[in-house]
Amino acid sequence: MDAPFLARSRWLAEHILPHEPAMRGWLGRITSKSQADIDDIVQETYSILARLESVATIRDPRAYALQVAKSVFLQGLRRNKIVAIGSINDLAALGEIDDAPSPEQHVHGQRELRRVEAAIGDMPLQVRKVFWLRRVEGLSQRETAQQLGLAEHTVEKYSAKGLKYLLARFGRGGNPSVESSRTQDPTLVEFEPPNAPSRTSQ
Amino acid sequence: MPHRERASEIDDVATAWAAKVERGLTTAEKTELDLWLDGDSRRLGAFVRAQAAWIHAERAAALGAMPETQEPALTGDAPDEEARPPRLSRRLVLGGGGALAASVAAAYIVGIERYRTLESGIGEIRHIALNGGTTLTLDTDSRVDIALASGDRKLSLVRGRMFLDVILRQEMPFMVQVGDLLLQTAEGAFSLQSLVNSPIMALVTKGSLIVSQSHGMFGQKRTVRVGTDHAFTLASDALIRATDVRPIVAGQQEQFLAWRDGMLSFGGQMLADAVRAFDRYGPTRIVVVDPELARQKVTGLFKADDPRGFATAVAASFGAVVTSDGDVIRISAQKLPTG
Repeated sequence: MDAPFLARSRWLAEHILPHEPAMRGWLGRITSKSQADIDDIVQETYSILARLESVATIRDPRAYALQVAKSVFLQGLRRNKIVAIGSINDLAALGEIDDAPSPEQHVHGQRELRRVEAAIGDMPLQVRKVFWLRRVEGLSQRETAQQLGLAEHTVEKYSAKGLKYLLARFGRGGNPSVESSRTQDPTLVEFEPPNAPSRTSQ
Repeated sequence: MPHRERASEIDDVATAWAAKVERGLTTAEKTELDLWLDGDSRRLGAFVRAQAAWIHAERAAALGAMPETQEPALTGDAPDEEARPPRLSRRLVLGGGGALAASVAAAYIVGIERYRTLESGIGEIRHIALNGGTTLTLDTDSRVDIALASGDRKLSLVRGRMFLDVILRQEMPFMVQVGDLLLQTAEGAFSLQSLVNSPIMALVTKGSLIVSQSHGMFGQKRTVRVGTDHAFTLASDALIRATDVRPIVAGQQEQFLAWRDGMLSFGGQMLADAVRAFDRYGPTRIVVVDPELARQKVTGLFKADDPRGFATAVAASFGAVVTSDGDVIRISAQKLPTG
């Protein structure tokens, strides 16, 4: 009901999360950062987006998020005072995003659905059941506990675990094809059937 | 630097919180969550990301039936990140004073009688070593006058922006004059700006600063102390009040000091104000044609000498178009049917 940051998280779910694999791929290509560093950059990026006063006027959230991620990366460079020659080249490469703003990015409903499906498929059975009842059947934590004969705190724990499986699909390794692709945004080349089930309404 | 939490450790806690939030928080838990979020800037990011993933997953309803796994695992273990190679230590080797010292060039200029003047050109950022190890960094188009008799312990900021790292010298305070203010420190570091149409601002990153103001010959002297990680802001001609001093958070500090690396950093400023910041670094002028566009908030770090790159990035974010004509870059709203 009055969950903190809920409205912003809705916006992130709709406009940013679907582009996270592409963002990671992009960061990986141009910064030669380790996965752990990219994890840091991604978290900082979400943090900044969460703190923005308003997102209502951001027309291209993907471009905006990439810009923020780039800034976070540069901030890190400065904080560590790394002025190695390599980073200069990286900076030059960073310019690409500015010079070639991509065409408007749409969230591929079908692709996102497959992603969620795969994540649920990854979950251990009990976690999957909990997740399904909570997220799809819409049961409360208590109702879920009753139905599955589990303690409430176990349901809560399994919900958190389910979340980790979902996040893993957006995080590192979630989309291996991203790393190897040569296109600016590999998700662009995916085909979306015109009548694919689009974003589900709430 | 103390142990830095790994992103995956943060994710563990963040997902637990997201699950708790889903079932509703008690008042005590809300407080606890706030405390946790305040501990590291990445935590909020991890938290909203987890919450977003939870929301994003509502589309699973379209699947109709619960997906089956290929290989049922009943252990209930979430994907662990233990298996991955140990995190590389953050490269802090160059983090000491060495990097700064190396880039400091001595620049003594013979000035007029009682002062010597140090100036930086447009687009230039100068590092200057003063007597006794104190270092001065001048932002673009800035000028300071150093009192010759002071042994480099007294200067006045005539215009622009500077950063001063003051080394302790025999209890002798370092004094900086700006407008009708006198700033004093025995040892410390701070930035100070005196820009047209903008308040005087000092930001202390080390030690503390005493700011005093004398108004007229008989006016009472007013004084405030600005501690580490605090900023002092004063509109021109205003009187000092204790409320002029405010604490700053880490992110803000980065933002205010980005100019030292030739960068401009924005954290939600209006585009109209952001473009003006570029004016000081070169002949190029960015003009935002559309007033609605001019009110958009801008976040990010940009090269101060690359207004074109900034304009392009802004245009990409807000769906605007960039045109240029000589030294003038125009950002205007795109006239497209919205779809």
